[in-house]
Amino acid sequence: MNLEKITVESAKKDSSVHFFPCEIKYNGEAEVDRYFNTSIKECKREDGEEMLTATFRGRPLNGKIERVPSGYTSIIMKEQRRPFTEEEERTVTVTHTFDKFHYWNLDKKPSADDRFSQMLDWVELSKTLHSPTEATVTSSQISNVSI
Amino acid sequence: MAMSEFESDNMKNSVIESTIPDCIKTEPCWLGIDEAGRGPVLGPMVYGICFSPLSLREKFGEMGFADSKTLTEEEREGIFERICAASDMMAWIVELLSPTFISNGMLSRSKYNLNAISHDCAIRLVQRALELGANIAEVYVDTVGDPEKYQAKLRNLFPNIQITVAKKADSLYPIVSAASICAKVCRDRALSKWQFQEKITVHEDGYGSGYPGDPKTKRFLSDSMDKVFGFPQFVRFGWSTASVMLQKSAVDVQWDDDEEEEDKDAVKLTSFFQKKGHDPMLDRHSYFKDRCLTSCESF
Repeated sequence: MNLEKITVESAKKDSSVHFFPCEIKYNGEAEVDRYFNTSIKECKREDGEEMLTATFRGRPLNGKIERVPSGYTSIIMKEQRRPFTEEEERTVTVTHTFDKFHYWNLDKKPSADDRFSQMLDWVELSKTLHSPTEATVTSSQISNVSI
Repeated sequence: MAMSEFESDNMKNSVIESTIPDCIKTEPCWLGIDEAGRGPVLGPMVYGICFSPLSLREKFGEMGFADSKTLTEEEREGIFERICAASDMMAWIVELLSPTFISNGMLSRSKYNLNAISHDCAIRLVQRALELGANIAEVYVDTVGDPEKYQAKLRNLFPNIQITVAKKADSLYPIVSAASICAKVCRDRALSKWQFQEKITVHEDGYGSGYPGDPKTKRFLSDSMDKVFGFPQFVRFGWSTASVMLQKSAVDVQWDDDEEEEDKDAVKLTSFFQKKGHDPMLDRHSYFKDRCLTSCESF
């Protein structure tokens, strides 16, 4: 897989990325501005927190703006040409990068119980797991490790 | 009828009220409830109530109300003008239930069906009339669903009001006819002034009655359909006409609650016949499975 670093740096910043609670069996351009962005509304939750609502295919969505964890970069890649054979090297271009995006739930207020929020603990956990440690680990430390 | 609130955001419901004359607070009143635009696949459903002192019943009967469905749009407008001119003896409230609200309700996780939406709206409107100080003694309403259950529900909520739920109440009781005219006029106006936030250009013949059988409505649906997003917010997605069209001609979309009815944790009988030699210890830890995390080596 070829992914040139320079493309990441020169890629456009995009803040209108949406993370949907459904799978749309389609790849390509879509009329996001006309049909979807116009449905996004800001409202205050009972606890005073800002919340977003929108609708897709008649279904109610609840969402919020989520930041990409620090130290990570989110990229959108495009493969200009599908390879003819499996052996052929694939080349993808990074078209956009983003550091925040819209996170949407189906008819459910975003919360810490969402799989997505829980996934973020792994980011924290992996940071710890992959950071260099002291050479000696005591046996009591080992027994404390549990996931 | 001040439609500006609804026009400014036609995805949200909106309530419009007439002025409330003093006689409605001092004298016992009868109140009629009716709806407009229950069947159509397009536009808002409108609920209307109309209330007036019982002492003016005869005078009220002379105003020539009839079921809104038997009148033309011009005739309805004419009668609505008379209703407004008689603001010293009657009052009305309408609530527009936006097509987005109806779609979202019908397609939410806990399905909020049209009968429940209708009952709740009717109840809200009666409560609103009471809040405004109206002295409501009798309520007349066209039935939605089973009349006896509906009647029991309303009696339970309003024990001090005499409730009559009847089929064809709009042709039996002029107070219900008046409510149906307020609702229908409001729906007519909402449709004619509909602002498409999706910047849809409607065919010069218009979108017809909004009923699924109308050829103009059908053409509007197919013209305005987007293969990814489906329809503009003007369309009620919960209607089978709309969902069948999407199934046929739009991109397939799968939701995580689609197969929720199946019990995922139940052990399938076939699992006992699965290949031996599969070591569950080699599966990823549930920590990763629960978070939908997998290792990715290639795309």
